[in-house]
Amino acid sequence: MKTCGRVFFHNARRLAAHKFTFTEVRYLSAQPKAESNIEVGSLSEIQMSVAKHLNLKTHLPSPLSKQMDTLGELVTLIRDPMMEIASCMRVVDKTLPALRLVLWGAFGTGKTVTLNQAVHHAYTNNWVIVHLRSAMDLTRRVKEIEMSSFVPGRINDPSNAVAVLQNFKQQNQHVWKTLGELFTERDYEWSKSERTAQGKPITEIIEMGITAPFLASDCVGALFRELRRHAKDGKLKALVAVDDANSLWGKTLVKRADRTYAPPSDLTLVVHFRRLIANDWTNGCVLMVADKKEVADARDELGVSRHTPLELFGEEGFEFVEPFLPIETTNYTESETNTLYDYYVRKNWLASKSARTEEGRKQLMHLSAFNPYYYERLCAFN
Amino acid sequence: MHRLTHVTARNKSTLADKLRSAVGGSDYGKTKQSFAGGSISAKDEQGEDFRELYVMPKRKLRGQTQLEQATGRAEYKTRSRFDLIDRLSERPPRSEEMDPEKQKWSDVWPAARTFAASVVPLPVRMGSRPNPEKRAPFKKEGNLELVKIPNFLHLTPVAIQQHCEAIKKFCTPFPPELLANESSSSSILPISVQYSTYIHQGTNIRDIRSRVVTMIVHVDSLKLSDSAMEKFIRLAGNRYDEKNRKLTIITDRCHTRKQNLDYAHYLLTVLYHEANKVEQWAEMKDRSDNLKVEFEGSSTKTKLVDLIEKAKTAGLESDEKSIEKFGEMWKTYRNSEETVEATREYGRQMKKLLGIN
Repeated sequence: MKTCGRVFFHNARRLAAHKFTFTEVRYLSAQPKAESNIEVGSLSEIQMSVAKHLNLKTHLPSPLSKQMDTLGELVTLIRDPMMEIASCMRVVDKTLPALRLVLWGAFGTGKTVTLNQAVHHAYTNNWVIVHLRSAMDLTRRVKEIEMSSFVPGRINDPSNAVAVLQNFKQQNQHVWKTLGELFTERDYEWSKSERTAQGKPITEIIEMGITAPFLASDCVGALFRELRRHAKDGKLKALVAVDDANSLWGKTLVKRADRTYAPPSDLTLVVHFRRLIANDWTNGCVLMVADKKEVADARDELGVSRHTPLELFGEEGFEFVEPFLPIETTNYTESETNTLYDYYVRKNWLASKSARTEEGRKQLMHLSAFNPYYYERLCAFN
Repeated sequence: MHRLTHVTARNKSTLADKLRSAVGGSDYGKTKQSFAGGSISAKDEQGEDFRELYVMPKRKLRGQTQLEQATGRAEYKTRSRFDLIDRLSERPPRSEEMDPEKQKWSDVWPAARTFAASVVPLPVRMGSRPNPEKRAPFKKEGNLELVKIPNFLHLTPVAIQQHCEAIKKFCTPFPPELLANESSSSSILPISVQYSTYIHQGTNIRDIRSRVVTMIVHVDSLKLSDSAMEKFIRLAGNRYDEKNRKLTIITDRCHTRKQNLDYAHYLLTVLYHEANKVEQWAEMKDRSDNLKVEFEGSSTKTKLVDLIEKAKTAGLESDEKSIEKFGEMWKTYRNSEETVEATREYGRQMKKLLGIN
């Protein structure tokens, strides 16, 4: 009797999983103009192959990428901000200057996850993706520096520049062929020996940068320049997704020769990314995240910094990114927690008996105070 | 205790006798000599006086008279005090003579003065000694503690009322319009002065804090031009409250209240005239030197207008008219503390402006 019951339960679970894969999880519409086939508050799966292709493991917040490893799939909740971004991406046009969107919200409400969802959305629409894991890497995690030979006073950052190019190459394999058919506008003379002639595919610039790190910073600039030009011409649509974008106007840890800290405007990569953010080009969308980690001080236990865009970008940065559309990420609603709870129960991620009861569901909901980050953390330990 | 109802003349006192004999002259001491001679006045064969043996004094001893008085055999003689006349010449304390119900206290104690036990008809006590339940604190007579502390015996409610009645003829009624309308008082009476008077128990009735004067001025009534107003705000610094447009000057550097009040008026005058001055370098003021971030002429506006132009050609239903409304919102957003709700409003208006939904 007992074994029989267990077998039945096992089958039921398999059946449920089976059902779940085909009916419950859907994808965000690939057609930008088409009526979206997904509603707000439902789960959407990103195929593992795609996630690997987009290198989401490094771009997602670490708890989520670990969960992705554990569960063997990446299922995220489609929420309001994502729908807003999708509708904004739908209006992107050859005549319209690059739309600038700023994701803002309290800690753990899903700014980075939404950014990654948008990157995936761009991937399904065959857009070119420029995705920066964190702008803070460019200002505070600079391993080696060298002075620019192109502009005096600028500071190059070879390792980060190579990382940017490699990441670009990896994330844009779906449009690599298209990129290979786009040609450079002019001659680029990187050094005395290296040069890229006019009319060469722009992928050559990337290869050049990856193979010669000391040229990589300039290559990033040239690549972005070409991308903007081709987007203006309507040959491609581009999504620029910059996490912690307010760090581009934050403080740096790069020291100059006189031992003072260099302002971010002296860093070549920062300058290149700022140019990409400027909306003097068309046919693209710039998605930025305003994150508190730039201004928050871990040692200051009493101060609470704001998470609003003007506060985080500062006056200079704010005036630069204006006009933009602020998109707020918020805490979960009750139905959203329920959706995720059901998903975690189905995946047996919520394993303990008490967590699987009705009371457990409510406790998880209220203990996390509907904050997505804390909800995930609580679910990981129950 | 000082009262004596009857007075006896001291005719029989020994002192009077002595005086009389002294005035009388040479026969002083004769009675004593004769008394010393004794009743036995005999002389022996040698012609020497009989020397009586001393056994006891030939008067009644104190114990004897006391005994006789106690048993009633002897009459008890009352003697008046030796300084009775001196005492009688002194007036008894006023507080014992006065009838508190009939007389006016404000006549007795018309102005502030130190405590006088003989004047105040109150059984006040002050001081400390151990076991107050056994022994009450010291009475008012000769009590220095009562003298040390300040008193307000001249400020009885009746006295204050009398005072008010007396000066009423010099006063005019407070304008009822000002009482009715709070806002009009700011334009009619633009300056208000605040100070505090301190009353407390202590050895000194003066308080250092009473010199502080706070002057509040409604800045609108100064009728400053825009540029002068900006200079005024810069000069006033944190003394100017932007919300209710009031200038608050607190002066405490002089010793007396009057000096501080004069100084506050002086400061206001100087501020006003300095604000109205136009220096040469004032013309060099840049856009970035403004007190507020302005939407008109900002790079944001030019960029926004440009974007809306292009959005129109791109086929978005952008709302051009709402740019003024957006400008107002933008100005408050940039110039006030950023809140979450303000940012949401920013997003809403921006969406409307671009026509994205």
